Amino acid sequence: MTASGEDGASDIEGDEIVTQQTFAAPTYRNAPRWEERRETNVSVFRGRVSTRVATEYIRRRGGRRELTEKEKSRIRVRRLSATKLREAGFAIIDEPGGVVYPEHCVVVWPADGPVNPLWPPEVQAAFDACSTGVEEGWQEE
Amino acid sequence: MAGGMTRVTLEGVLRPGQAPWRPSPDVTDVRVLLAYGHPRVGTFRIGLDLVLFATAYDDDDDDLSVWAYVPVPAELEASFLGRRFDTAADLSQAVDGFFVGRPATMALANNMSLARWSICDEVPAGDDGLTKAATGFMWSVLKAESFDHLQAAVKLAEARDLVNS
Repeated sequence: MTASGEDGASDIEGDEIVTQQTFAAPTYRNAPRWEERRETNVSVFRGRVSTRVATEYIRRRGGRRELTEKEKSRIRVRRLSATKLREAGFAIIDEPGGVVYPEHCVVVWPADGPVNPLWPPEVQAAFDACSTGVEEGWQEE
Repeated sequence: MAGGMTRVTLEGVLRPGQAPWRPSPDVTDVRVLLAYGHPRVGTFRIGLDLVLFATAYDDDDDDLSVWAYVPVPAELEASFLGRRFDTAADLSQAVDGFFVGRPATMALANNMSLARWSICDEVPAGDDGLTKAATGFMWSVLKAESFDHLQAAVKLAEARDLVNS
């Protein structure tokens, strides 16, 4: 597979924002978990997605169990710049699947050539550096 | 014949070591309906038959995950192929509801590699039917593992007796 995407997927163009969620703030995933979970990319959502919506998407199973206050305190989202990601050599592929919103995307590396799921430390650091610094914690409805 | 898959053939499709979303080298046309890090819900084909797969248990902090598979009759393929759902909750409701009352193949994966599987005769009713099916399956796995360990212990004890006698 190359970063050009499959099934009609396309790169996110322009100066868009993508959202990344974490259950373990202040830590965010900054590389695929290839060894443990066969991941070849890092998932994000297109645009400014709320912490609650992002979390409900991810918690497909177990989503009916109420989150504890401790869990909520560690859930956060951060915004990443699509421009910075592309400049750093990543590609953002639109892969919404069967869900309209939030719109699921994947960040792959490198942007040109075969996708490599084993991101070196400098690539992981480059991914983190694409954060805009804007974060959002859990908010009750 | 499309939609004519039997329980036996689906159970026979899965291969150890395969990723749960591509459970056999013979699988074609994998379509992911929901992914986060890795595919979590989707469809694939075995021959002409469409199969729906979904996580029944998956926790980011756990190496183990449980997956469910069910054949989709040809006349119901449009329920999932090309369908878009407004939210992940809508998708989950449709997928989980489809499993209810049907026989499903439940599979255990370790680090996203299929390890063992068996048939659930009928996924229980209710919003948490798939979770109940996963729980029942895991109990059967635990019992089987315990039995295997017991048998191994007996064999070891017998071997020691033979050596010592």
